[in-house]
Amino acid sequence: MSSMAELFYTLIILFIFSSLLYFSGKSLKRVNKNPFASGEMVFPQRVQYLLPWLFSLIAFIAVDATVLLIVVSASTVNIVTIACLALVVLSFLLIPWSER
Amino acid sequence: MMAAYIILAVVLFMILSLILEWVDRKVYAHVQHRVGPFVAGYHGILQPVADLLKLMNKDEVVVEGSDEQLLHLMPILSLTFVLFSLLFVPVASVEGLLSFKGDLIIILAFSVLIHLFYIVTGLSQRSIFASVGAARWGQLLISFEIPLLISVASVALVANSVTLSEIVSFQSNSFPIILLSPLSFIAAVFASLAKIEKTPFSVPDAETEIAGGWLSEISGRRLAIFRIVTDLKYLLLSALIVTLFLGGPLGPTVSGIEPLLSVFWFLVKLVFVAILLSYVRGIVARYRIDQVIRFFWFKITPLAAVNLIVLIFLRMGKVI
Repeated sequence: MSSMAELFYTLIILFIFSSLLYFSGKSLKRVNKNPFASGEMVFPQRVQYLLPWLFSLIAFIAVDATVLLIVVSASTVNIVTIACLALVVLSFLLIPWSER
Repeated sequence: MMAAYIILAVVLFMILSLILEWVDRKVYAHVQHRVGPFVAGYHGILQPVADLLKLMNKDEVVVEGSDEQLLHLMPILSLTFVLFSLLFVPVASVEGLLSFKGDLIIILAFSVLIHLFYIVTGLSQRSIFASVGAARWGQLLISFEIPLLISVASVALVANSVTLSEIVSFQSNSFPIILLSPLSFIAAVFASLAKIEKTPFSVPDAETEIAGGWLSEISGRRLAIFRIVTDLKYLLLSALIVTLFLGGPLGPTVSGIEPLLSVFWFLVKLVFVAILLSYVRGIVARYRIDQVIRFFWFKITPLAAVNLIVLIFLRMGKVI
């Protein structure tokens, strides 16, 4: 088992290694006034978000936390785990039906 | 001394990831009745290295007004975290180079963090294609993370642990976990395909729709680093599937050369999983983003959840 100091030390070494690898590449830079991907003038635009997507995001966070709880309590499956799983199933049923 | 081991392991992992990219491209090409890479090295085995060197030596082109500091930082952080996660994978014995209680959770958390770096990269560029790519990454993230976590939860439940070395030890004393969690294995394979942005889930960088998506304005060394991060993620996820479901480096062994045979069995299983992933991506066309979400939420998540629920009842009945 590694200690926290070893983990931190490893992270620092890897960050230095990654930086060296990145900065060993060619650094000559050219600046374009506009994005060029489509070959025509494209201006920045806001990405549209729909309400069901926000709902999905909230459901995702709930499910994510629940599953992590199940993972953490893997050694002791009890009534709390079962209740969490029931809540997950219920939250799936609440997904806006028109979006399915 | 520790630093030397880390650098050696990192270099070996990078070489292995480039070989896996070659395997992936070859399998993908053969599925489509093409030859694939053939020029650089034996049967094109050096093609990923040639591509990497070419990109590292190309000019960087940035859009005026982009957040350049973030664009410098994101590839470095992505590479750091994916390499850090790889060091936990047990290759030559039941324990990886790094290991601690609950390391599986850290690996999963870091793998999500890398995707957040991708989203930040997409949003840091002044381009609608990159923004749409970043938004698609967010949507893809909420699709595949749940089934992946449920699959991992099944493994943790069977092995009674969230530590990789203990999960491998459990399998050495009993059986590969895939026998009790076949549905979770299937879910993990599909979630891994989405995590490495391969067809049919390559929606964030869909070339024909959004011109490369979150990578559309990325060039030169940044693109090189992001490409090697994708290769390393491919290696990491294949290695995780091998470790969690197929017993990792375990296999028939002869006393005296156990570490060598462990590496051999690990590589054999790794190539099997890599070929499986490449084959799936070769035979399926790309989904739309809404189809991806429907696929994961209404097909793969229930599949993994059924497996988990069965395992919970087996555990409550003291069967496992």
